[in-house]
Amino acid sequence: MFDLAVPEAALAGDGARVLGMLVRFGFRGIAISVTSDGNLNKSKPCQIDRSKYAAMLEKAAGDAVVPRASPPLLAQANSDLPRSLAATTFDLFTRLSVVLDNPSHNYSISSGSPIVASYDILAVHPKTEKLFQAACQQLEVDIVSLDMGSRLPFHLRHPTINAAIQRGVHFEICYAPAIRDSTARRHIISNSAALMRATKGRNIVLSSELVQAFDLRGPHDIANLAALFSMNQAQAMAALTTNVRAVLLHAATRRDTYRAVMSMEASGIPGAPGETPDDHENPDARPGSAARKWKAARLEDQDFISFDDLGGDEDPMDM
Amino acid sequence: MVRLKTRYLLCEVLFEDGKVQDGATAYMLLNALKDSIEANFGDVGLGAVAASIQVKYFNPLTGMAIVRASRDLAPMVWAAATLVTALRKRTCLVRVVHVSGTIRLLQRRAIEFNRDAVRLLRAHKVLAAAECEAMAAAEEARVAKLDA
Repeated sequence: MFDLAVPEAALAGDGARVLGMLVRFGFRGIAISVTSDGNLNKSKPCQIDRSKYAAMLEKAAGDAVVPRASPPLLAQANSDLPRSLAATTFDLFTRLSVVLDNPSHNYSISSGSPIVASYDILAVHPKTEKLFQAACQQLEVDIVSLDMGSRLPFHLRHPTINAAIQRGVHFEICYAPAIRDSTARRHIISNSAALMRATKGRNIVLSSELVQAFDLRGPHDIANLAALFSMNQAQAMAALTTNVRAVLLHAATRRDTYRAVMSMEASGIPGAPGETPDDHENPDARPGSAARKWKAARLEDQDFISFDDLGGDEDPMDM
Repeated sequence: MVRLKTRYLLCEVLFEDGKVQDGATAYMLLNALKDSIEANFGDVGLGAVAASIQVKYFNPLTGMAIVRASRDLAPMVWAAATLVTALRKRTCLVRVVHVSGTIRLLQRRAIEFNRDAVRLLRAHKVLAAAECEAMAAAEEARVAKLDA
């Protein structure tokens, strides 16, 4: 169970407490998020120091979990972990939340941008209907997060939402504002009802967006609270587990794919099969590096095979 | 015969300030739950639940609470419990650990939870070892008597 919206600001305060509580409540991964405005050309690549949070986690949770500072985005990569390890890893992902309020910045949100590539997950917060449509239909993003805590400035239309669902883009409902503030609670309940009506329960992700440690709630508590957000139990549990995995898969395909060829990364745990000791010093083991090698490759003479080289005198059509 | 079906929620109440000596009582927790129901579900919610909601057990040291509600209203009581943010001005949170239709089956889980909580208290040096033993035994007895 992952919490996909843990702002870095919340971890800056009493981070050890937040992480300890996450582990205690049964979460096994978080996405540390940083917000930026639309003009990505002016931002810097990911500054989140995952090893610092991994250390904080070890101090807070002891040997209950094994923190992974560079976990693979794909669940399949975990299949080579020994089972005892797979149940106790805590994954630290990074997420960039871009506030979209200016259409001229849309072009900078492409997977080619090095700033976007330095984060695992990309989320957008569109502020107008046009930008919401762009986010759902064109932009390469993983999560579209509307500000559920206040009145939505536009209606959610079925064609736009269906386009997003077909592309694998997910919509996010944050529950921590509902716990903190009564007005936000009302808006979240009403906006979630509209979102659930438009999406029919598909492609929804529940995450916290906490500000302090005591905004957190356990996963079953969140699933029950989601009944207030017009989700039934099955949809709520899917929003916490399956759909989160789907977001990570979408993020992996967005970042590590070049022309429909996917790359797989090492699992990041020393001692697991496939992991070499000096991978953390080897720049080729960084996520996305295989895809970058494909992109940089050029066709060379030896790539062209001549029929003479194939050998064999028989005509393959002779039976 | 028409049965009155109930749900027992085994909850953990975590306080932010971490102080354990404060005299928080079951009555205070019940009031906090009722305030939460009134704030989130209004007069209708409070009226529906007033007759059936009870805090059967609460230990502020371990944070364990057993709340009883009628079966149909249990999701509402659970949601109200999740939305509790403070108990008499002390920031806290309520986490529901187990839900059961009978208190007998809940007791098993409650005893496990109690053991873990007491172990944590001992590890964090909040209580001395001897006190821990005594408290664990006393609380288990108390929980075991609840189905009487």
